[in-house]
Amino acid sequence: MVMVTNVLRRSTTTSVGEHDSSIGYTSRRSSTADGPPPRRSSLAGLSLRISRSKRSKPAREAVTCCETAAQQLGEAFFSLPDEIIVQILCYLGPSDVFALRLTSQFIYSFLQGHAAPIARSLLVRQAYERSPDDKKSQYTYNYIQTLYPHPLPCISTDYLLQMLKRQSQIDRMLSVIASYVHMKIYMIPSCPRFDDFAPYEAKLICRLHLAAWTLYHFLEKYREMLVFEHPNHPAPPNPSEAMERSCRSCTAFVRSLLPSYPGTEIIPAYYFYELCRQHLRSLSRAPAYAGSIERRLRGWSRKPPSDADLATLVVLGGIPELCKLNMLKGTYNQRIEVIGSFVDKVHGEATRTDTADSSRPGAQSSLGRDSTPISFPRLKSPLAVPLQNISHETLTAVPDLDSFVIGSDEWVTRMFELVGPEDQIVSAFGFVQNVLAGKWYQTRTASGRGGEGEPVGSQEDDEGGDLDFLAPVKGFD
Amino acid sequence: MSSSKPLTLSSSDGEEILVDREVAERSILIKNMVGDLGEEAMEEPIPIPNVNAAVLKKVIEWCIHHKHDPPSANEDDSDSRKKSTDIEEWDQKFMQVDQEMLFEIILAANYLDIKALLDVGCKTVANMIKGKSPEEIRKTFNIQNDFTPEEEDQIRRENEWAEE
Repeated sequence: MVMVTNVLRRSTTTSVGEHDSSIGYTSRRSSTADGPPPRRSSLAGLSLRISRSKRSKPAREAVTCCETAAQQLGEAFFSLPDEIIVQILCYLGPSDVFALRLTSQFIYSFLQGHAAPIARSLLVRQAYERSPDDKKSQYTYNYIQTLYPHPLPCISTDYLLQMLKRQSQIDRMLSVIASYVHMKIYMIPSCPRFDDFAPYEAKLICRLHLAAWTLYHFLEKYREMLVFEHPNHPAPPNPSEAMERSCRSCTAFVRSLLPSYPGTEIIPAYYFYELCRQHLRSLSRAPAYAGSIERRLRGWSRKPPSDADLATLVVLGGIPELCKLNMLKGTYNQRIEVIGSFVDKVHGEATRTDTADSSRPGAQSSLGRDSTPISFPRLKSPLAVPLQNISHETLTAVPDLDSFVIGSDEWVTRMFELVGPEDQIVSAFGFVQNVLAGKWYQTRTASGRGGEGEPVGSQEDDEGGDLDFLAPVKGFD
Repeated sequence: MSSSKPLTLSSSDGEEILVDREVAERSILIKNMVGDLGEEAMEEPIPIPNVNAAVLKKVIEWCIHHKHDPPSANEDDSDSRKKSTDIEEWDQKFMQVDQEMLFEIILAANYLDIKALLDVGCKTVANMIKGKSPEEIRKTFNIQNDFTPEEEDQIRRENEWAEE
């Protein structure tokens, strides 16, 4: 039976094989699936395939007789030289690329084979949509490329999908934080000027966009270090230092990572983190008015997350987890449930890793949840929490919430290295004020609507624009 | 009017078309040819073997309308143009031709090296794909769905993962 499916598989491969770029997909998958033959699933697949081929025949005839126009269009399109097809595809948006991937084997593998230019033009366009002008959009694109360089050679759309995923997580995080700031400023949605915030919100999101990328990258790298490198770090020489919970090698890692971000990004990233942290704290705090009876009535059975839980969420979950939480959406119970289930999952995995220490991580991953085909984990894994590698040692090394980033010497030192001696760095909300007052984003100056924020002063110039994290605040009293 | 003499282009089906030099030089191919061969060689009709008369006339119509456009050649420009599939109104009307002609224009623009026209053509085709579901794209281009249900399901899940 296995033989038969193999033959079937191979024949589907050769039928599309005439288009030489379609080598990869089916053949790769069948060869990986051949290893231990998944008997049940391949049998099921066979019957499905047979019924399908019976169905598709008459359907095809129907199509050919009545839709010759479509046929001509298709033929004309695919007879274009490859580079022109690529140029056409470069004009499409993400949703169109997703749709095209699903159309046929040939188009799927064409996209895989020409992923590099298509990814490039898509990401350039995304950068353009999120930047105020052309110069900035080029910078945005280049900066994101330095954080997550395009792999070379590029033989699949994995990179593109991962970047789109990251971008959508970042967008979500930004909108969560922007609405948090919005809430902070107005407190009550019924305030008559509440809706006037929209242009300022756009400004804020625009300014924090790269800060969010920077923080995303930092948290991802930090987690990677903590999970994979930290277990090999030397223990502190004397036990009293171990009390500090900070590992010297980890600190050294942060110190070496930070200089890779430019000063104009690192300070906004610091504040962006601070906003995320404040937001996380306020959403994980039970409403103060609720007494113990109301608590019980509302079914708040779960304990509020401890600081250590929050730190675990931030350090191991990163932006992908943080962006799922929104203080203004859902109930308190739902929010702490999200935090709690993440923490439980991590702890559960850590226990499992500790008990089954002898088996290698690679072998473990093939044990469980392998109903998913091989390439899906490969696509997801760079972004996912490396759960199967987390041990209790990793968990104990997670820094305190207050000493991570905000309280860490490495970040603060690095920030002060980047500014002049007499410059003064404002606080997180001071920075937000500066952004809202238009110190950076000058194309749409505050129109003075509702008296919120005065029109921007005249002494602003191009270089000053990026330094809106410095005091004094202009146009604000 | 430009001082230099008009050029004669000879299409693949043997028709000769008289074109202003300035107009013909929207095509980088012809421009380079004139530059390489010199004025005297231009007395003779220039053969354009890959393009028939109907298409060539259409292309020349486009070149006449766009003869005053600033020449755009540098790298950055192509990037900024990729930003949107907006097509200016005149070009949109111009591209309202049957599909066969559309693809012939694209191929001719590619052969004659008229970048702006090629862009317009590509955008027009891209707009045929834009906003469509996989099934609609298959219908439009007469594409057979040759995925197995498992494969299709997997790609769908990858898409959903990335879109989420």
